Amino acid sequence: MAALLALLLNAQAAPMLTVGVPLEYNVLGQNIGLRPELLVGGPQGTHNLRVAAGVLPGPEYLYLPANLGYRLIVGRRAGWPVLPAVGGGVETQVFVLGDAPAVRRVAYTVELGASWQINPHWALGAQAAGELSLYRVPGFGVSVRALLSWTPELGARG
Amino acid sequence: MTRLLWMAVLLLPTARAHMPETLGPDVTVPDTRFSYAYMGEFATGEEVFVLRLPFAEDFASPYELLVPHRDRYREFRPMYALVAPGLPEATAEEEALLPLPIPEGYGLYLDLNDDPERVVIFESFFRDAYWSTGPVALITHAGEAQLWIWSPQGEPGEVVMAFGLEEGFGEVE
Repeated sequence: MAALLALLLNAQAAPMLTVGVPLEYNVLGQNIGLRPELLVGGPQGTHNLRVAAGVLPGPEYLYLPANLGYRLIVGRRAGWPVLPAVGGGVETQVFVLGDAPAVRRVAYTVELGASWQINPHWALGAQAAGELSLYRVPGFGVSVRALLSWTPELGARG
Repeated sequence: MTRLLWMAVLLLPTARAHMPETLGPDVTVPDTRFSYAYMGEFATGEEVFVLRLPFAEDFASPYELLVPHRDRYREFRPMYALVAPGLPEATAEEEALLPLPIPEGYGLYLDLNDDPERVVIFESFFRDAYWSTGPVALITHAGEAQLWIWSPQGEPGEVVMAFGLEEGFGEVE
């Protein structure tokens, strides 16, 4: 973790922050909601630590995921208009049933997507993510996201 | 139907554990050695789903009836009956509640699905939640058992009848 942080947070410059507000739909549970995320990246924003937590109501339960992970965003440094991204992480998932104890589990996640850089600060993106839980409460998940993100530092860095 | 499709797509290539199947007016279970989840929907609420289980020998198995854990089904309480050789003889009160006549020589287990506190289960693989009648283990004698599932109030809705023990992997012969 220390090595990852050192990679992300280059000592020569302040980190690049990106705030995202994805609208997420989890296909298996049919849950839909917002999962705000914060990316803390190196000065070029290529390697990012991702923290995200969401509230996704659904027809059978309320789904509350919280994720800590990594996202690689390609092309920021080169100023590409479309930025591919890939990532992964660890997630705690809580399924709130209402009339029974909530179900909790830990899952591994992977994600793949791309975003369109509208201007130096704003981007629109789409992502697909997969989840796999192997222990105690095994299972998986598949979700898609539409993402609006804001990067206050990007313009200043050129 | 969507969840049945998902289960079929994702489960069929690898396992036959709690095999997803579809309820109907008269369906025979292909191999009673394995466990099944028979899914169906009362379109009108007047239907009676019948599952025939041809047991080659005396058999002990759990049974439970599930309803999706959705607000619109909060008051939806379908019933099921296991009618089979080896079960206790039905009382007149029980027979009056049944949608079909009991065959000669058959006994009855009737689940009224009327417990005030409903069991909630979370099916973690497909992230589905259900209200359950609670699993009940029953022993039936060799011969054809029948499961009857109906909606006594005539309400439409989705149900899953789950039963069986063995998790079979690979094709069933």
